[in-house]
Amino acid sequence: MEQSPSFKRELLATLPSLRAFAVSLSGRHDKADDLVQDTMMKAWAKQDSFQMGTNIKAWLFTILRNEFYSQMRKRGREVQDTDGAFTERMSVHPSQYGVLDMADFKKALDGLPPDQREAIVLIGASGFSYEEAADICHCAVGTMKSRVSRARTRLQEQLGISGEADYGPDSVSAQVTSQGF
Amino acid sequence: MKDKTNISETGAPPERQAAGELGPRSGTGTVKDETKMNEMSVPRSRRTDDGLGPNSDIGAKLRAFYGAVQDQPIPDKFLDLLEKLDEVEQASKRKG
Repeated sequence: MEQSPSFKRELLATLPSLRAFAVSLSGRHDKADDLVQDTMMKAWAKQDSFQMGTNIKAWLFTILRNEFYSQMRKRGREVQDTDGAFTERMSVHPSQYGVLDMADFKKALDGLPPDQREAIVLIGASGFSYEEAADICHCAVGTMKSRVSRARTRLQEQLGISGEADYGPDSVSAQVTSQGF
Repeated sequence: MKDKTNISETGAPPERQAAGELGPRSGTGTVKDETKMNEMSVPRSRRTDDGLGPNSDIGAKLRAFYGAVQDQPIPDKFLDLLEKLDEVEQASKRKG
């Protein structure tokens, strides 16, 4: 019965990742934060339907995603701010990759169809298995796999990255490798 | 330790030697460090045959983008909202 303190703690622990997913979906920080707040209220109201010990992260992501698409349907499609708010924030939080580089990546990610974008984010960054991601997106596991694959191919094309070079040694180091053995 | 975890959980072959463009098997600290960092950021229970693994450029960019948001402190407005939700619930419980 006394599940509230623990539920609150788990919700809190999931917030950073939930927020990152919201930014990925909506493309904007302000919209994303509204989305997270709506999700928190929905989740709080529905907490009795959540079973402690099961995957709260997947449960919260599902609520957020449903909320996002239901708001989209209500408002109609809005044009996304592809390089405004996010780029600004990025300059405060530079990563090991350059800010410009990351702005390009963000633009390419935003350019993906929504189903592909959420798929590659859930699998590649949020840490979900294909089964969990398929549950969150209400689709089959095979569908999830093909969305991820198409998203990856498209990002590689747009960013001019060759997938294969990322795996094996490039031509120069391949030479070094073969000389070494 | 991380190394072992990564291999057993993803079922991936040991790909540490192929650390992207930085020159595999050069044995420098740079390569080693980056490999280690990538491994840590790779989500668990995921296969690497989808091209998003530790040596994938797209995967690394994706996680850098995601991580940049995720690593920000939780905004006060979220914490305030949680407190408020909690208070309302406590109050309604007291009333019965």
